[in-house]
Amino acid sequence: MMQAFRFRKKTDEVAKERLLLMTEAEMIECSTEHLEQMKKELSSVINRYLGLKPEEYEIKLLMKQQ
Amino acid sequence: MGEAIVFTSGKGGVGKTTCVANIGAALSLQDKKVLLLDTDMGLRNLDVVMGLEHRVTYNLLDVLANQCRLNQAMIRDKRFANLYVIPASLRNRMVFDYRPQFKLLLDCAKQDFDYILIDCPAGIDYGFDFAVSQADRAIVVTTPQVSAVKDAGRVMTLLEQMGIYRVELLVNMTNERLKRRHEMLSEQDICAILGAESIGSIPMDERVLVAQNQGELCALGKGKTARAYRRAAAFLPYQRLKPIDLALEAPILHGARLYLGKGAQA
Repeated sequence: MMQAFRFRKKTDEVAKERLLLMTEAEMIECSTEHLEQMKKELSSVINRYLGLKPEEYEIKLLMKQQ
Repeated sequence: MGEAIVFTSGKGGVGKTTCVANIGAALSLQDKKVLLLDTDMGLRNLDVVMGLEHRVTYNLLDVLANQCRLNQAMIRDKRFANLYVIPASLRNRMVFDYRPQFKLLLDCAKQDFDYILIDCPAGIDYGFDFAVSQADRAIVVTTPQVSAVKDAGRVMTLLEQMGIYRVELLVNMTNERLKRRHEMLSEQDICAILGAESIGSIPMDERVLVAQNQGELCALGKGKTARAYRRAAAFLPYQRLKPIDLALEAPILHGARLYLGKGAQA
């Protein structure tokens, strides 16, 4: 959230991000906080091994049917 | 054979009743025979929005409890060729016991009408279950508010659990000026977030309130809101791709609904 503020992101983008995060979190039944933390940690791993910046890839969760 | 379409939203105050009244009127203008059902028991409002409150004698509960015949409870809106309304009851009795009768009512009505629009109460408790139980498809009314979008997503999950797979969105109360400034979620944004198609967006317009003050419907008029209602009504009959076919485009959301849907049934 603070990051969004610093870059003066438009509020429709902020709303969209929050809603997408909430839907994802609902899917795996964890809090949005945990999900964000998980994505941050994944980012650092990806950066360490592949040397990619966050803008260069996207983290998406795909669930298999049970 | 007609179609029963439930208008639902989860969140209250997004304009379900207004949309049902105006889209019903717009469909009637397109020479469709339309029946509007108010299932918001205890909070009877559809007849008020349409200016028909003085013509109510019987209501939905009377029909379900066999107190009157189906066509006795139907109020014909004289301003339109083929628009009928069955109002909700004033008392908030448990309608849940009348599910078989409700099915019978809709089966009868589908013989006569092209469209049966069901106005669902807010919330997701037994009133919602009742209103949705006999619907063939659903229109989820939402607004660009984050709370309304979140509730719409939740309601879509519930609808899928209840076996309603054809679900479309109707985005109400949009504001062009805010959208241009990127301070409001657009119709496209909301569709992307929820992984569903939309039948249209209705602008926020003071004329809707002014029309309702006098028991009139603004779908009849000339302005952009009237056009938006008529456009949404024109889109309603089209069979579009179900969200399930868009799995490749929205894997997260599709997965979310699939996961939650299957999880709760198991």
